[in-house]
Amino acid sequence: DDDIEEEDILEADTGFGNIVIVDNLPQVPPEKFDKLHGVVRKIFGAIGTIPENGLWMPVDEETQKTKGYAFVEFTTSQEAQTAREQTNGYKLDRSHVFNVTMFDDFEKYMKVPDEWIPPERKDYAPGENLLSWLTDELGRDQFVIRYGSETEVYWNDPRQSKPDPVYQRSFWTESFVQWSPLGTYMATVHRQGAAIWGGPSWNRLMRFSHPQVRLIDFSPRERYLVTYSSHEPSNPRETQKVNLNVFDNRTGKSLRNFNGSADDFATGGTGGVAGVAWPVFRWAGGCEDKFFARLGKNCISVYETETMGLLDKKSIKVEGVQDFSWSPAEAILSMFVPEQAGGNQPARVSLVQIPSREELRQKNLFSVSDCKMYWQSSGEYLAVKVDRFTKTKKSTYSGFELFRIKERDIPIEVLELENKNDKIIAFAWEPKGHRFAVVHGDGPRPDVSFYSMKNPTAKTGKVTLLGTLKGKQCNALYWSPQGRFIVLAGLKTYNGQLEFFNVDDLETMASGEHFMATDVEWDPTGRFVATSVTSVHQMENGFTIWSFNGRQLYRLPRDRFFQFLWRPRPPTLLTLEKESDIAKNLRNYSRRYDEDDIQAVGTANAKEVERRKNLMDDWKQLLGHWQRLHAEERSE
Amino acid sequence: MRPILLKGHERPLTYLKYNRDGDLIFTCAKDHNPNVWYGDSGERLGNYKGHNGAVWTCDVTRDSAKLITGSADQTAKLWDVETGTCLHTFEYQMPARAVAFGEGDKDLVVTTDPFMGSPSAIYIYHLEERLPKSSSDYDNKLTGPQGRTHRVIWGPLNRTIISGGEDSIIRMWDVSKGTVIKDVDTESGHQKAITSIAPSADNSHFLTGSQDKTSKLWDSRTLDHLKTYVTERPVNAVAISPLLDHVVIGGGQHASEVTTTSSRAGKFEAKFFHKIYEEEIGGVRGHFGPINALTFSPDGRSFASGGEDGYVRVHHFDSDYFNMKY
Amino acid sequence: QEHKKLLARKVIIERRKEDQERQMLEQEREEEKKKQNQQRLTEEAERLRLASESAKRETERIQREYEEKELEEAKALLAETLKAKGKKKKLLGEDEGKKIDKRTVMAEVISQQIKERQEAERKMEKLSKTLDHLERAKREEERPLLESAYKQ
Repeated sequence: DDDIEEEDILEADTGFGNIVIVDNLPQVPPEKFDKLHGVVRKIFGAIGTIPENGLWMPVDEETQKTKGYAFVEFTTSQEAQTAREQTNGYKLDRSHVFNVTMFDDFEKYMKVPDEWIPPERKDYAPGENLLSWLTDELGRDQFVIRYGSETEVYWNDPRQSKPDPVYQRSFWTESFVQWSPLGTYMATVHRQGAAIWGGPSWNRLMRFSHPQVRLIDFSPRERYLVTYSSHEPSNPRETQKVNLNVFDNRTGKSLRNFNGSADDFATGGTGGVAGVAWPVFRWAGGCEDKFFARLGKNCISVYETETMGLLDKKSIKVEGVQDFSWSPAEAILSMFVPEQAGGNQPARVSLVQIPSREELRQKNLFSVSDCKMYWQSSGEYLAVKVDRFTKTKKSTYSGFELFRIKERDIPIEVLELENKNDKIIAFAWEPKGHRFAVVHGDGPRPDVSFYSMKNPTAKTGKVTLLGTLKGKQCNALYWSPQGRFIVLAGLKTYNGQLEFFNVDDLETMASGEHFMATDVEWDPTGRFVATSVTSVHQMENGFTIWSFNGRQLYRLPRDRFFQFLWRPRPPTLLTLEKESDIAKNLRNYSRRYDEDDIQAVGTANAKEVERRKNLMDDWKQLLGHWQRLHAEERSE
Repeated sequence: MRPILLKGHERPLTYLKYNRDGDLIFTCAKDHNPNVWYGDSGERLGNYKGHNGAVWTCDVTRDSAKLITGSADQTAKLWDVETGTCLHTFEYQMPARAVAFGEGDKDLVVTTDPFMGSPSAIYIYHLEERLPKSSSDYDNKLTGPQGRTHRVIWGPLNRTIISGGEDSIIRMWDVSKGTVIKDVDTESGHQKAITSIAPSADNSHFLTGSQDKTSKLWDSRTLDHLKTYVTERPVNAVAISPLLDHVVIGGGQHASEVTTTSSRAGKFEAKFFHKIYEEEIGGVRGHFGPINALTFSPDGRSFASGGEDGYVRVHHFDSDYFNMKY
Repeated sequence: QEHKKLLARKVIIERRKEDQERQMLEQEREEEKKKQNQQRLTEEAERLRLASESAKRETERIQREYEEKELEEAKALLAETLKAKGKKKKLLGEDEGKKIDKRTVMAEVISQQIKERQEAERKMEKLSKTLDHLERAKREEERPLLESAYKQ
């Protein structure tokens, strides 16, 4: 296998692991050589120890100018590694941004054939159709599972009540796999960096060098990949360092590197909290991957991908800002700022348009302990769960502020639960819909309530309670991606209780149990639900596929089960007219599909009968053979 | 299929054994007294008093006259089934574990656990004419396996024995030479300790259960691997149906390792697999703890399970079972 | 003497008469007593009969009322199931003025419930098919678009 050989080369110890190459240095005449030499030594000397002759800046014999790059040697490869991470992307000045590579990597690049191959070749070369999986004749969906050292991709084949293998590989990833948001790529994570795979033969499409990468995140339109690593400091007095790269998915080039101390990247104005909230960078929805942003101290830094720099070269200053989130449909930021100045300034939630930075709406909130923002998937509504202190300040109670983004002046409505002492255990918007579900209660059996943002009788929008289910063993909500159906799940302490509920009719379609279930995930079409028990438990590992209405279709037990992920799908290419056309003429399609299905089931059954017959014949032969030998032996 | 509950043991069950006729069932538990019951009614006939420790396994002669039991009290005892009197005590310096009569009831094998620095051992006796005078009066002693040997069965014609235990290796021994003819290690066999071995009725193949959550079927002459049955829990007990192409597998995490036992009360399951297709075909729940012992009646019309919960459940199959499409 | 004899005879006759009268009286008394006794017995029997009959009537009444109540309940249940389905249907046999008992109504209710369940299952099956077929039809129509997009 080619890939494995390549990786072997990469891992091979050339003895130059302690050397980095710094590119993009200024090209200076001899009189400035010493100054530049000194600057470079200072920068890199701060990271590790450079031996006496460890810094070499080649000089062009003709022009006598430096060639614009340098080799820096460290005493250890760990130092070199750190240096690369910390200085790659270092801005010496406006026009000189360091491009730092490991010498070993460079050597690998040198082995690339001499003729220049455009880095975008994947785009133009008649490569494989990366969308071929969308054209499955049977209209099936794929998923990937990971267990033990195996990673396997399957078709979900409900007609045969079993998964149909697509591709499998051992040791494909070193920690996890992740689909890109539209399902085009599957990402794997390795010591050297991340890689993306796809197409019918599951070739590697691109590699992203980022040693010790720990987390990755795609932009919503799959153009960019953000990678993250954190590194223990070499000096115990220093804090943990984090390193992030924003890659172009098609060229594999790092467009921007961010690094700093973990504190700088720990979100939430409080600072000092261990760990970094992922994703550090959050992408604006509905605008072709134009903007991404991260929370800073007293600011939100919005970057634009065009320049990979700060939007208007400055962050949005917001004193004390604690959290923010993007509308999934347009470049609108919602942010939460807790009480300031010892309570003199109330907490607030505000909506800011990007790139204009215009504040669209603001709401002041009093005696707030915390806020959580939930956007509806088409950006029509924003629900803010507000936890407030009671008068005694001893406890909190919760309510919602509901924003109608698409209506004039963005009206806000307050929703309080009937029983104010109820804790909010879960909240979820109906995807693309106007309804939401809340799990609330303060006992062991909470209630589940459904609300609509529309009022069927009144013309003006008023949030309406549709119904409440009392005393459910439920602590998590999973809406079908098409809306209408929801799985009320009781995970963890409820041991995997499942209720498949139809919200249109407020009717339970079926109840089930997947004992110890840890995860629930709808397929992208809303036809199937997967529940799984991952290796957080020792036993019962594996997954179960259910129909949307709670019929168990099949089960696959797998020891040391880590991941189950449905492959996401891009939005359809069909026009709305075409879609409604199809719906109108569905009967014609249905007739054909019914026939196909009957035939397919027949064939599958015949195959299965054949398979069993063969197994049984083999067995009988084996037994017969055994008995003959046994009789001989006995008569000896 | 309403089970008959045999309530007589106060500690976790360890082993179950039907006699040849299937009218009697012998039960061993961590309490010291094995019991004997009527298989049909669940009425207790009596018990065998004399051991001073947990009783791990037992075997009964074809004529249902004699019972052998292996116990943690460092003895194996031979009993008169009908009177309950102890006919002979095999004394060791270490706990006895697995016991089995060979075909014809003239051969006996007993395994002992490692103890105080002595390794585990397998003792072979030919009881034709006499009973051994002392613990060293065996016909052969086999050593080599690391850790306990949980189960041992006789191969065809009593020429071999097959052992399995903590070191996860299945061994086939030449009885007369005392050497290993063939073994299956963790590479191609079980990944974790073997907890149970059960032969087929004709002894042409046998089933192993392991803590690696699988159960495997093997050729008892060649030790060729035939089938694998995958479950979600460590396997403690296995049995092969003498009537249909079914195997039953039971297990569960040991109580001390499980925090959710109580919430899963009554849901420990004996799982049925099709022996040849390797597919799960059903399950019987009911125990309040892991299943430690399983056996089919010799006619295959009922099976019994023994649990960590101290109960034995005897299930008589209903017509649905025999009408299954498999 | 003659007179004496006559007188004596008269006395005897008189005595006999008296005796006879007394006997008759006694006999009458006896009979009266008997009659009274008889009547008392009859009355007692009648009283008992009445009591037992009334008790019987009472249990019958309770039984009847109980049945009626159950019937009413069953009817209500049926009516409710029917109403829930938005259908107006007369109870079985009501038109013909036949006596309807609980059993027929319950049977009706149960068959109604079975029907309902079957209908719900059919509905669910249909919904499930619609969802699946809609998705497949959309993909079928999308397929040429995806292929031509790739060829470009």
